[in-house]
Amino acid sequence: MNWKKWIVAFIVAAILVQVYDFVVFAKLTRDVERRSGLAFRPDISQWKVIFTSVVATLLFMLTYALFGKSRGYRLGTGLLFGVLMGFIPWIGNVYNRLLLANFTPSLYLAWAAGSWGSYVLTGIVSGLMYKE
Amino acid sequence: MNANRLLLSIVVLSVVANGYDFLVHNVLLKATYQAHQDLLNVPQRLGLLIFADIVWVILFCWFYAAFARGRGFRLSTGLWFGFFVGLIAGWMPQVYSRLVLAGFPIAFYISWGVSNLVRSLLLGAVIGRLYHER
Repeated sequence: MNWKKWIVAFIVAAILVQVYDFVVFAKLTRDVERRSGLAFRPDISQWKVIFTSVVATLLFMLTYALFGKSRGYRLGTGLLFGVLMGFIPWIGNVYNRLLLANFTPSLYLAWAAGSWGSYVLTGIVSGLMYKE
Repeated sequence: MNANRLLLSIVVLSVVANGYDFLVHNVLLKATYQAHQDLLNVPQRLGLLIFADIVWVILFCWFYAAFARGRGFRLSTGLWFGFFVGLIAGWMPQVYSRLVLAGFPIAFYISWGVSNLVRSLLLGAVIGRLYHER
């Protein structure tokens, strides 16, 4: 594993994912969240949300570095990795939709597609920046 | 990619995943769900939950077959794969739910986070034993 390349790629991805999350979850999907019957915490700790997002990015990129080698570290590999990894938590949102009352179809779509896009973005950055 | 082994893995993992979910959600967590019935859809759409499990397994197996070759198709590779997928796609979403949803009980966060991680590890172990390209 090339730690120097990995750390640079991780920092770039973490920053881009924060920007993406802000645009998608704090702006674009805010109305969908308000219209759903789910109650949101009035005192959401943004620092905890950011920290969680950074940890998720770190885990994703560690997994990419460990498993991406067989297909060669390049854009196509990162993109495929991000697309496939993103679809697994998408199913998690399907479970939420099926199990939780008030988890409306629009909230399901917003969260599933929003988080999928975040994984695809991380995959693209990984594919472009990480090499051994 | 070994199509026969992939298909076999999908069938076996689908059975294991649904059996595991039945045990966890219908037996072990029954009391937790009864205590929080107001948060849940009643009745549960069992057929769709089983179908969602199968789709999850297809993605998991396809992902493993596409990316695990570099580490060698073996038990330890499957376990590591399951561990990371379990953390990223199983545990982290529960952390988000706990952070932003007001009524999301800690019992759901812990039980869903842990059961998702264990399920992913279990499925990683099974595919690590079952799938190879020979």
